[in-house]
Amino acid sequence: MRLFLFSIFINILILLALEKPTFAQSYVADTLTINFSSGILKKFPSVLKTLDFRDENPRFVSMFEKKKFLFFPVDQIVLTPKPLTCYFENNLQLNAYPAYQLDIHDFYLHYNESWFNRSVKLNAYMGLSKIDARNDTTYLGIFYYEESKKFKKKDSIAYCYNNLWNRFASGFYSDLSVIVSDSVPNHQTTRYHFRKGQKAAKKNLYISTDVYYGYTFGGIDADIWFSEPEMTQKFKRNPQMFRYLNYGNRQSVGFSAKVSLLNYRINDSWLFQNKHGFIFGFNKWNDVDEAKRTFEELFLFQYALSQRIVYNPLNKSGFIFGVGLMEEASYIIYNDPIFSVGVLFNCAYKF
Amino acid sequence: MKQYLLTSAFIMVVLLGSAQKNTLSGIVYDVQTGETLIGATIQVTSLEGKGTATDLNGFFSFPGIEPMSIEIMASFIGYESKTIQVNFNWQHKSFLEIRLKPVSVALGQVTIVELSANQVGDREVETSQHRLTPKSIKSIPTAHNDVFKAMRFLPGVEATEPLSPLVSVRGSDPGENLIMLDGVTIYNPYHFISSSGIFNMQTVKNIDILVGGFGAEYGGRNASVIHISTKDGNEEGIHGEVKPTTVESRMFLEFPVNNKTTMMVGGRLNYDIAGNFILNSNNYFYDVNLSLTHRFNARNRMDIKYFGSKDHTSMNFNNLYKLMGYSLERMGDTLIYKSLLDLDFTWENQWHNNIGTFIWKSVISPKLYFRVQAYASLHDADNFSAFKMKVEDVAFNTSTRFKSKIYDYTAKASLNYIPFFGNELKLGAEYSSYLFANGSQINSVDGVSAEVTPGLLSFFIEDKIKIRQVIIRPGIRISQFNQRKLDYEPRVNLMLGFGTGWKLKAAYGTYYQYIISMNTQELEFNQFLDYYYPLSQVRPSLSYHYIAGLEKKTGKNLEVSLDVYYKDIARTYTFDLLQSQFEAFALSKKVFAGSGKTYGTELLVKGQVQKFSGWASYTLARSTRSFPNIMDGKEYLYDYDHLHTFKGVINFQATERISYSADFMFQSGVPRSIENSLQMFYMYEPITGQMIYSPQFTIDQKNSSRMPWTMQINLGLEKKIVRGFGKDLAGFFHADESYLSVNVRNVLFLRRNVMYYLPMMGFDKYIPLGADYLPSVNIGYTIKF
Repeated sequence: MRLFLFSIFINILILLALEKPTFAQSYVADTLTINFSSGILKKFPSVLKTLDFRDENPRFVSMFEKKKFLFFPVDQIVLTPKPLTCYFENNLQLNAYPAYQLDIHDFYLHYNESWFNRSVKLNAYMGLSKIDARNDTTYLGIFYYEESKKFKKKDSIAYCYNNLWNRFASGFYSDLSVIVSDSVPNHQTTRYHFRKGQKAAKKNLYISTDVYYGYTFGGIDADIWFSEPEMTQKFKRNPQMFRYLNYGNRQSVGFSAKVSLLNYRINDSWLFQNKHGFIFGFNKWNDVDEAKRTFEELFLFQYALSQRIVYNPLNKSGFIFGVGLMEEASYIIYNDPIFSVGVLFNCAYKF
Repeated sequence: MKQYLLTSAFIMVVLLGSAQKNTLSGIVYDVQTGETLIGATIQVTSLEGKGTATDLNGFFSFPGIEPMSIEIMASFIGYESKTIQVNFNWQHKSFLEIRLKPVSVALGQVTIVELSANQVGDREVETSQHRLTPKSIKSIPTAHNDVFKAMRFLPGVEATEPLSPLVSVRGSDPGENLIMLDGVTIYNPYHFISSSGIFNMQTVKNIDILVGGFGAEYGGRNASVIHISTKDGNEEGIHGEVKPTTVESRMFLEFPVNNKTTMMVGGRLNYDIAGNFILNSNNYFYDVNLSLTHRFNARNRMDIKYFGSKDHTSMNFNNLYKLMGYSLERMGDTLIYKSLLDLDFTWENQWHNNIGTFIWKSVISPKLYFRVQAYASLHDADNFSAFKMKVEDVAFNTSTRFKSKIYDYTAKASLNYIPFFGNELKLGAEYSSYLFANGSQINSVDGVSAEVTPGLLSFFIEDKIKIRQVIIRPGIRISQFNQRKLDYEPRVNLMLGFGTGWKLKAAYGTYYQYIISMNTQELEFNQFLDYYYPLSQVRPSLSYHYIAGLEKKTGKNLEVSLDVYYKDIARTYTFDLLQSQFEAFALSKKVFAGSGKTYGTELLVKGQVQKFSGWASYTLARSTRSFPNIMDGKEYLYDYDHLHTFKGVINFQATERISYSADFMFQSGVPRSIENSLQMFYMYEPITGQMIYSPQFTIDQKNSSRMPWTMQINLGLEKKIVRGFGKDLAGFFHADESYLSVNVRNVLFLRRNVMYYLPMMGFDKYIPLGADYLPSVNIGYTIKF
């Protein structure tokens, strides 16, 4: 029977090989074309030239992974029918001054799909320059956007993308209008969307350590993540985390590839952070014989939480320090659920 | 004397055959890295049928050209072809440094198979040879980027045991494989924890495997030659690769030191975090590669290479067994759990390999290429394993310790002389000074140790003569081991080309081997190493290879071949280490001479069909042995006999960024001695005052039971990363690109591939033991810059 199934598998491979290459290509890499509405930005009263500095196809806006037949991962590439710059430019006469130039450094839509809903997050950062009548260019600053929205499962991918684009475009139009009208961009709305005089910033690499101390335990977390420049007051990042805890009678190690780190910017120097996520790990028991520990007790299931206030100056690299509380709820087979609380000290370096 | 005269006459005939015509010679390089290209083709476009290929050093020579001005085309798979106008000087010579540019990867162009490369051992004439490139190894999901695991998917090459890196080639002992790293013989190039080779694939250029009928250039082994070439360093700038994972991290860097010198540095560190944490074990290994290449001028070049590796294993499963014992007790078990609580299973290994070599390569004249090499290859191992268990009143207590030390100091030189087109003469000399030290301890009883320091002097000569569609390559190797009488090894390879595209290849050879591997697979829990023992007091083992093969290139990218081989193992040896475990016999008294034979046929299809590339093979084979101390000399099936094997690798380059791969292997089970009675040895332990029971399972017939068929399918995916952590990490290091690889191993995990039936004496039961109970997923990033 197995040989029969295997011969079917081989036959399918041969059939695929004999088919045209385009079929095989489309089988594993579907391309979706989604058109954005460009109505709002066309209303911008001054000339808006746009240059695309991304290291991508000029029509590329998104890519996500799908599973074909619930198993084979394939890439779904999302393109716009025209180059992305066409959706920002307003095609006014070039001799009208002052004119503005928009440099797209990044524009990307992250698509996520779960059992119950879909969500799309937009990340964009774009530099703005002013061109006067003598054709002199003055750099004004950079726009940062990070917007996400949840959609219903039944909403089409095109609808989700378009909806978020429209929201972004209207916000960007409004911010752009404020900036070019020479209003001081110091109020809350534009604080994160426009940084006056600042050049495009790279992503920051964080290498962070949390040291825990509780009544019955001590421990340490090591985290690593890349963070896009802060674009809103509240933002979320996803570190990869390794955890070690020592409870006296057992030591535990755990790993999570994607914990959730929620950030709230209090002021230019201080951040409030809440880290939480599920961790799977292993236990090393020091009382195997005394307590007759079993094989099942090797495994650790933990939900970890921590809150801290962190000294993390906005847009500056260097050391970061923080203090806060950690909580964890652990489940080990044949043991009562464990809840622990401790204080934490954080030290990180932001590259 | 007669042989010397014949050889001299042979050389004279060859030398007198040369005439004063133009000679073109040169070296072919990769334009981006400066690496020499092995197997690049040089074709004189104006002279039909006139072509040659570069050798192991990237060198080619093309004598006998009449016109003073010609056009040549240099080509190599994966590179853009280059046309060059050549004008000969008044000395009728021209030396070229040809630099080929790699083609950009486009859809449908990616293949994991090289069809027409001239490889180590000369593909034109030699049968039974295969090449693996780092790319092809990477495309084998279950290989985990390891050369020995990848080799198992080639026809004629089989794994000895699922957890061991050792391979048996065409029914031979793993100790009969000659493994060379840049021309250096390397002993036991294996890591313990990962059961893999010690070669960091980031540093490897390519791997050539000759599975039989190889020429006179290689000697000292009966079964196969596995030649690994490492990179020399990049002439153009700093390039490298970083691969951090939770299990091990690899790093590779190549760069120019100045405009004439390049360097390559590679390293790997494996840290068994899970084992260290859960089992209280302290396991790690590392390996380091260094290569310095200095080009004095276009014709002279020097390489200095160093390779080092260390394995440290201190593995104790007792804690895990206790946990399992308490689990069983909790489930209500009343018998087995106590055994698990008292169970003691320990592995302690220390292995080292250190290699240093110096190579000088020189194009003396357009017709003459000279290579001289000196090296030291040092290996030592100390392996201890112990198993103690108690079931009711029966106590098991068994342990082994094997120590091995091999020091090999060798100097060798070879000369390639191409007097005229269609004739290539190769001759060389080699001297090795060895130290072999072995010691064994079985069930706490000290065996004897032995230390021998023999020397091996060898000469070889072979001449490749090409007349139209016929190529013949006769050769002879003459060796003297430990100052004993000379051994002559005549070898000949033949190729007949037919107009229809079919080629008939045939080979005959005599092969002597002066060292043997102590067969410990029935004593150790898993034989990971070959413990080499020199045959300094007995005649060397001897085998004769008879091979015939047909091959045809069907279409542009597909090749089919059929090999039939018969190997007459006229003299071979086995160790009976248990034979005198309670008596202080010398190791030499435990060696028994015997004979055997292996024969079979291998059908191989390889190449590329649209976006699929790879190979598939079917092998029908048989291997037998006969020893006077085993069943009174009656012939029995050898331990690595697989009657039917169907295996292969398929790579599907779906897009420029994504490739899928699959490997499969369906194979007859191996013969095993499944014991049907138990003998107990009783020993008094004076320190503790206890009686120790050493069980020895016995059987009246060796390898009487054949294990069931084994089947495995593994899947892999490699994807160039566009977004995410890997891409950000690559960006942070200013790397050119990053890849994500996902391997799903053992997708047929519900099929238990039985490797042994453990007898449960007293219960009248046999417990089937397999190696592939669970599927496993391996994920990792590769960052290239």
